[in-house]
Amino acid sequence: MKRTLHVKDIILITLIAIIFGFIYVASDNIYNFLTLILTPIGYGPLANDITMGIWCMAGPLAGFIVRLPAAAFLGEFLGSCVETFAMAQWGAANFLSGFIQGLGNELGFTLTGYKHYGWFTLFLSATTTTIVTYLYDFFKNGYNQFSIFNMILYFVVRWISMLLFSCVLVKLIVNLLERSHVINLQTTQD
Amino acid sequence: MNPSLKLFLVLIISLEVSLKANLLANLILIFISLIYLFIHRVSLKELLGLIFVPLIAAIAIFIAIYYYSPAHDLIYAWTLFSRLYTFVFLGACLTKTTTATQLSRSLEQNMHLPTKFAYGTLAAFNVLPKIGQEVKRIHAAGQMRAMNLSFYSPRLYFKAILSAISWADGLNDAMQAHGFRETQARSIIDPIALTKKDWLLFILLLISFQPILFFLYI
Amino acid sequence: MSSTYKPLKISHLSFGYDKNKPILNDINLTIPRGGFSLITGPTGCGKSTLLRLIAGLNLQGKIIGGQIENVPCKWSMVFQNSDRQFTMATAYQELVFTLENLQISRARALKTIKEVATVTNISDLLHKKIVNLSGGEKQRIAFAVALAMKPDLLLLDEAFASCDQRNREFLQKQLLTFKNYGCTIIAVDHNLDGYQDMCDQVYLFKNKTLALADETETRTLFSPKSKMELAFKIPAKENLVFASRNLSYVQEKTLVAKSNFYLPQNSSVLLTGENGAGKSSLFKVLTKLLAYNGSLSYQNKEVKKLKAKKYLRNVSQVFQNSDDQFLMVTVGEEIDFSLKHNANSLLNEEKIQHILKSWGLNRRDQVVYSLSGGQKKKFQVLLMVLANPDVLLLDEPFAGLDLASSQEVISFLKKYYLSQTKSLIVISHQFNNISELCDYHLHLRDKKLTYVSH
Repeated sequence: MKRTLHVKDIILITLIAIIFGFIYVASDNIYNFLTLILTPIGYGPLANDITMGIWCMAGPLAGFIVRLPAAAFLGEFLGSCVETFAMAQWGAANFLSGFIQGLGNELGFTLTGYKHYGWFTLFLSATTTTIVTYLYDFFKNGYNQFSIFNMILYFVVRWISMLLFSCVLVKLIVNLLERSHVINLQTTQD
Repeated sequence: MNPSLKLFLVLIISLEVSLKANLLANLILIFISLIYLFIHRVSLKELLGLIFVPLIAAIAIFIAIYYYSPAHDLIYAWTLFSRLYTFVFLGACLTKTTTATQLSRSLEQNMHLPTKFAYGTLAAFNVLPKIGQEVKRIHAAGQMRAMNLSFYSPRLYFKAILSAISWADGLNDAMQAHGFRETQARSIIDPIALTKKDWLLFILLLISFQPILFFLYI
Repeated sequence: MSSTYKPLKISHLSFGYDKNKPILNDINLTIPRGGFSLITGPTGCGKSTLLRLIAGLNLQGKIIGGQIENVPCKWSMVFQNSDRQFTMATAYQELVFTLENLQISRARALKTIKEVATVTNISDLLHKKIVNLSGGEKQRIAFAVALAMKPDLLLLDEAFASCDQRNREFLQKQLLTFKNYGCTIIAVDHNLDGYQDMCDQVYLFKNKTLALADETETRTLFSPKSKMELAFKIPAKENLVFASRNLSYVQEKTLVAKSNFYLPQNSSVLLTGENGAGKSSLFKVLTKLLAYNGSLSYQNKEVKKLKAKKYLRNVSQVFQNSDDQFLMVTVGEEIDFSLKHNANSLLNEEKIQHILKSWGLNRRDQVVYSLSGGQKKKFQVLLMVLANPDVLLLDEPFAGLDLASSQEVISFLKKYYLSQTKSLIVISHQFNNISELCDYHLHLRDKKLTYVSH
C-alpha cells in the first residue's frame, strides 16, 4: 500500500534541507578559501564544483529517509527556497539551482523505481545530478566558453565531489540512522 | 505586488537570464532592482551586504572567463559577472520585501498550493534559529569528548537528523493540537489580494522584458 | 446524540512495542463530560503517552489491547516544551492559523483574538517573534490559542513546567474559563500545586496502570510539602577556577547583569533559580555557546579568548536533554570510545563493567537512544566522568530518577569524580540528598548570581 507525503514528512524534509544548508554555509569559508587560491590560476569557479557535493546531500538523504516519490526533489528544492530567504547570498540563483539539483537527485531514485535503496541508487543519483546540473551550468555559468580540457575537468571534479559527499557520505549517515532504528520506524508508519 | 506573482516574475526572469547572455539586460535589471529596493527602504547595510558577499565568486568567474578561457571574451566575462549580481538583486527584490509567511499564505490562497506544503515548510522555516543552536550544541558535545565533528563527518549529520526527526514530530503535534488537518479546508482570516490589476502588471512587466532580453544588445 | 455528551471512556487499554513489554497496561478511565481529571505519577511512567493516545497523535508502538471511546473531535493540547507549541512566528499569526484551521470567519476571529489576548495578558506580545519570548510568555500564548479554540477537550501535558509560580497561578485560573463552558480537561503533572480546588478526580500511575486515588491518597497528594531545611557554607574567594567581573549575558532578554560570579577549586555547587531565570544559559556561557559581556576568566585566562576545542576538554557539561550527549549508536560503542580517551585514572574497563552491570546497562548492543530516561541520565554521567574534565556542569541530572537512582549517581560522582581536585555545578529542582553532593548553593535571582547559606 503506497502512502503519500504527509505534513510530518514535509516538515522533516525541509528541516533536513535546512540543516544541510546551515552546515554548508558554516563551511562556506572553505568555498571562499578555495575560490581565493584558485582564482589567480583561473580555476576560481572550480570551487563551486569541488563543494557541490556537499550542497547536494539533502536530496538523497531526504529520499532515503522518506522513501516516496518527490522526497529527494523536495529535499533539495525546499531547502534552497528556505536558504534564499534566510541567507540572500545567491539570490534567485538559489531557487533555480535548487530546482535543477532537485530534479537531478530525484532522477536517480526514479530510475530505480523507488524500490531499491542502497549504494547503487545513491551512485545513480549522484551521477544524474552531476549531469543535470552540469548541463545547466554549461549555459548559466559559462562553462561553454571553457577549453575542452577544462570542460572535462570541471565535469570530472564535480562528479568526484558528488560521489564523495552525496553518495559515500550520505550512505555512511544512512547506515548510522539504520543502526539506531530510526529509519525503519519512518517507513512503517502511516 | 502580490507575493506569488512577485515570486513567479523573479523566477521566470531569472531563468531567462540564466539561459540567454545579455550584458545590457543584466545591467537594466540590476538598476531596476536597486530602485525597487530603494523604494522599499532596504537599509544601506543590507545593500552593501548584497554587493560584497558574492564579490569573491563574481570575480572568480570573471577572471576564469576573461584571462583563462580560449576566447578571452571580455563582454561575456562582464555578462557572467553581472549575471551573478542580477540573481542576487532580483532575489533581494523578493526576499527583502516579502516575508516567508506572506509568501506561503499567498501561495496557499492565490495559487491553491496544498496546505500541507504551505505550512509544513513554514513551520520548518520558523524553527531555523533553533537549528543553528542545535548544530552548535552537537559540535560542542563532540569537542567535550575529544571528537571533532565537522562537515565531512557522518556523525554530525546523523545527530542533526535525529534532532530534525524529533523537531518534525513536535511540530506535527503542535499543528494538530491547533486544529490543523491536512485534508480539511481552511477559512481565510487575513486575505491576500490577487486582483486583475495584479495580473495585468505581471504580464506587462514580463512582456516588456522580452524585447530587452532578445533584441537589445551591446 | 453527539458523542461529546458521553463520557470519555478508556477500557482495558494496553500499549507498547509488543505484547510482552507494554508501556501501558490495562488502563481504565472514565471522565464525565466537563470533568477535570488530574493524572500524576513519576517521570517516565507513561502519562504523556496516554495523553497522546487520547489525542490520536503519532506514537512509536501500537495499541495492544482495549480501546478509547468518545474522544471529542474538537480537542486542544498544551505541551510541556514551550518551544514546540507553535507553527508560526508570532502569537497573532498562530491565532490566525489556528482559527483558519477551525474554519472560523474573519469577523468572528478578530473578535476572539482580541478577547483571548486581553484575558491572557498577551495583547502587547501579539506581534513579537515567539522565539524571543520567555518560557512563561510562550505558555501564556499557548493557553490563549487553546482558549480561542474553545475545545471540547483540553489536554495539558506538564503545561506549567516552564512557568514560574506567578505564571502558573495565573494560567491555572484560566482553566476555570474552560471548565465554565463545559470543556473536559485532562491534566498530566507531577507537581500538584494549584489543582486542588478545581480537579474532580486524581489518578495515580502505578506499575504501568492507572488507579483512582481515594480520599486519603488525594489528601496526602495535596498536602503542602514540608520545606526542606538545608544549610550551606559560603565559599571563600580564593583558588578560583572561574572568576568574573561585571558578567552579564542575554538570551531573549537580559538574564544576568553585572554579576561577579566565581567558582572555587575543589567545590561542589548547587545552582537554583526560577524557571527561565538563566541557569542553563549560565552553562551555555561557561561552555562558550553563548556570548557574554564583562569579564569571565578560567584559570586566569579570559574565556572569550580561549579556543573551544581545548577548553571544552576541561569544562564539560552533562546536558539536560540526554540524547544531546551521545555520539555513538550503541552502549558498547560509547564505552569503547570513552575508554579510548579515558582521562580518569580511577576507572578502568573492569570497574566500568561492574558499574554498568549494577545499573542494568550491560547490554553492549543496546541502542543508547532506546534506553529509559533514567538509564540515559546515569549513562551520561558515567561517560562524562570518564572524560574527567576539571569542571563538570550538570543540567538537571536527577530529573526522572527515583530516590535510589539519584543516590547511585551521587555516590558515583563522589567516588570517581569529586575525590579528585575538581569543581562541579549542578542545576536541580530536586533536593533529596543534595547536601550530600553539594557544599555550596548558588542562587540566581534578580539578574545576580550569589552564594546563599540555605
